[in-house]
Amino acid sequence: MAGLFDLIGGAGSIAAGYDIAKDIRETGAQGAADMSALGQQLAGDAAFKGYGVQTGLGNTTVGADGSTNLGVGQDAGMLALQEQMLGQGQQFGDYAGQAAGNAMMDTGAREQSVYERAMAMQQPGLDAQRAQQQAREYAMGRGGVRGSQFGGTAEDAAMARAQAQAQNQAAFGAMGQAQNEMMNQGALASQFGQLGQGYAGQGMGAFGQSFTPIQQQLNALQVGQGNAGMAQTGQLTGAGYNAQLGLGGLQSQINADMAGSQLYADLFGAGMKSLGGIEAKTGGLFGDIEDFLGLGG
Amino acid sequence: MAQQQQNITIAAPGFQGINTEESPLQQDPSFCLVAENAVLDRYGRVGSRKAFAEFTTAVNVTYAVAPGAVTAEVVTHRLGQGVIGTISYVLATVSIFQFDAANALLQEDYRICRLVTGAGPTYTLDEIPSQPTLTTPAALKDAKILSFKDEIFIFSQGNDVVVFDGTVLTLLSAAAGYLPPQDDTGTLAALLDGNVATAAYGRLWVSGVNSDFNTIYYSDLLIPTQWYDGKAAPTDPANTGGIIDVSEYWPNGSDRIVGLVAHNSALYVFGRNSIIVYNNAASGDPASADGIVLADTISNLGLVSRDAVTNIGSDVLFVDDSGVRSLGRTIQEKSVPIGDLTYNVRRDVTEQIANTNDKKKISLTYWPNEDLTLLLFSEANYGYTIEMRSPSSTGGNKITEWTGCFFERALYYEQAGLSRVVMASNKDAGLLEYDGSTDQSGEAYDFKYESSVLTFGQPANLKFLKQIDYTVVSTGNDSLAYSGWGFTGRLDYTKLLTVNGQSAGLFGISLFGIAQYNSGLTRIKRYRVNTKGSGESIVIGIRASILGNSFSLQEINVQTLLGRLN
Repeated sequence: MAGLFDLIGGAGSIAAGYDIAKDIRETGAQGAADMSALGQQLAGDAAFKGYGVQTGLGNTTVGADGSTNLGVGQDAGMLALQEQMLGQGQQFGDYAGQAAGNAMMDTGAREQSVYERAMAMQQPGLDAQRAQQQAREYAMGRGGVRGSQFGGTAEDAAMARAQAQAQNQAAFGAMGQAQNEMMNQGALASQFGQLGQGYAGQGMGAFGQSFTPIQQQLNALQVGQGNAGMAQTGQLTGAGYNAQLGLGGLQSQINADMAGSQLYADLFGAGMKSLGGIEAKTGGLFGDIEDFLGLGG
Repeated sequence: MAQQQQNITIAAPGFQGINTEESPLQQDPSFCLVAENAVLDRYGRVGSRKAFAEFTTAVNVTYAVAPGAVTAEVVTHRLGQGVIGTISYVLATVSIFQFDAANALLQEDYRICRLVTGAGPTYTLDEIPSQPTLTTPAALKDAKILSFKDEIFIFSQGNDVVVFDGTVLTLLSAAAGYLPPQDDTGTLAALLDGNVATAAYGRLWVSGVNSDFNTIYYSDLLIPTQWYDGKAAPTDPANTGGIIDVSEYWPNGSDRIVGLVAHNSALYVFGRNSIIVYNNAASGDPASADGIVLADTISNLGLVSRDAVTNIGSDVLFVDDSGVRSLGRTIQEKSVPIGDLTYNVRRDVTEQIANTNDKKKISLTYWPNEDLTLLLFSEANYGYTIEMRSPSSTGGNKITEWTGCFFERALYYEQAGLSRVVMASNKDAGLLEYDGSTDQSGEAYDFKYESSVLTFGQPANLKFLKQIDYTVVSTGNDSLAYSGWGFTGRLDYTKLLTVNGQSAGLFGISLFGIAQYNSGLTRIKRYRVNTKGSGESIVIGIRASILGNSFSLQEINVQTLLGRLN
């Protein structure tokens, strides 16, 4: 009959053991939970909470997730200046392109245009000269004479030569004019190009300068970063302290729980032994169980 | 008491020619009212002209006989002469008219002929073979024939220029290197189809091209095939041909070119009513700076027709509506009366000109071998001769008149040391020659002389004419003559007399002391004519028939009795 009591004692051991185990587990679970809670708490305490910098330019915030809201954009004036400069640069660039295009054009049409204009200015004078020459010719009695050598008279030929010379001069002048204009256009293209580049440069400069507030704010942020670091250091230190203390407390709790459980187990075990003289082996019932289960070693 | 018979001598009667302008009552008896078929011979006597004798014996032309043609008549129209190489050629344009039995004209043909010398010598007008085809053959009737640069050029209105090189006729436009007037707009005239032309100063000058009688085209220097080239790049860069537009220089506003004459380095452009004178026409290039230039314009004097102008070497004579004018004196003095060669018969001439329907029938020809210029009105078969040796006392030249002028034109030319004047017969006789005393027709022509009205210084006294003695110089055959006299301004009375010609002194025939010896060619004889009648003024004349003889009036003696004052 040892067995029944063994069994009862075993059952009771089991039950007690179960309870103790359960308590231990619960203690552990609780401890875990507490740890977890502590951890979470500490995580919360140690979590980066972000920081902000406020300047005359704006308010920059660094979020807990690290995202940064600079709060300051590019300088609107500079952006506007950039827009203007770039616009003018573009315009001058267009001018330069146009001038370059003009400089690259065939001068023939321009020569013709200049020539025609020059001849249009000269034509009344030439017509007057021709009329005078014809009148003179008729007054001399040479009117109406046309020779193969001259087309008309020698005087007509001389007049024609003079007018042809004038036309040639106008033509050469037109060619020179057209070439000068071409060169001027090239120079203008260069100047416009340079102006355009200048304006573009200014625009780019303005664009660059438009970032000055941002830069300044970033500088301020950097300064704030230090301050925020210090704050975080304090925060983290406090959390550390809290963690330590928490862990200590938790440990104490667990130890207490363990001690209690152990005590209970000891007490229970004693009790059981009392029941049947069941010796509790290391496991007693537990040892039979272990043997039954083949768990003992 | 009976008045003494007076002898009044008229020496060299009429030697100053006809004068119908001054009052006959006050006139110098050296002038006359009529000098018909007369000339002023070398001795200054008024005498009979030479005959229009036969020269060519035949006109050899080929033509298609028209159906129904019964008769054919050849009319010689225009003459021209030129030297090609060393041979002198005379060319003529002829028409062949074919008529039916009713004398209706069936067909006209036109040919260019040349004078051919045959054995004898005999002369014929022979058609030049292979005549070129012309656009308007009828225009040959008024062709202008010129000699230039070893060729003879025939200009006719509306036709290409025909060129004779001594052998054949060709068209100028077919010649190698022919360059018609042109410029960059194109050809101005494909053919030089005008008939107002002259050859002078190394060029041909033509007007009437394309019926434009205000423009003169002149050829290149010594190159008749090359004309004005006004292209910017001429075919021949050395071409100096050209054009002269005279339309803006007519002093009367407008006119048309009728004649072109070169004289004294000038070019005379005759319009119908005005004259333009260009100097320096003989310059290398008329269009050059020292080239042709207008020298003068003369208004209200012009040329009646193209051939009514002649160059006598020292001057240019032309026929204006007012008569025969002298260009030199006209320009020098710039006045109408002076420089008027036909001043003595001015109204007669102007009337004759005005009455001539076809002005082309008026021509003026200088005969240097005869010292005369003939103003011919072939429409009336009538002409005036203008003595060229010296003017009359009035300033006008000495004038006689000719009738029976059945020819269109006259031409003086020299050949083989001989000089002659030939005439283009319009009576189917080819060419006539001014020579001898027998007309080609074989008919006699009359020499006529009528004095001016003679009053012998006493116009109020009656004159009883008793006798007229004619001292006549005659040659050749005996001929009949009619002495005439009158008291009413006409020859109311006539008397026949026989004018003796040459009287040969033959050995054994002529009788010593009886036969009248002479030089054997010319007889000078006084013929006495008893007269009757009376009057205050007397007109004396004589009419002699000329056929194989000549007649000159040396002197007239008038025996008259002066009566009471009437």
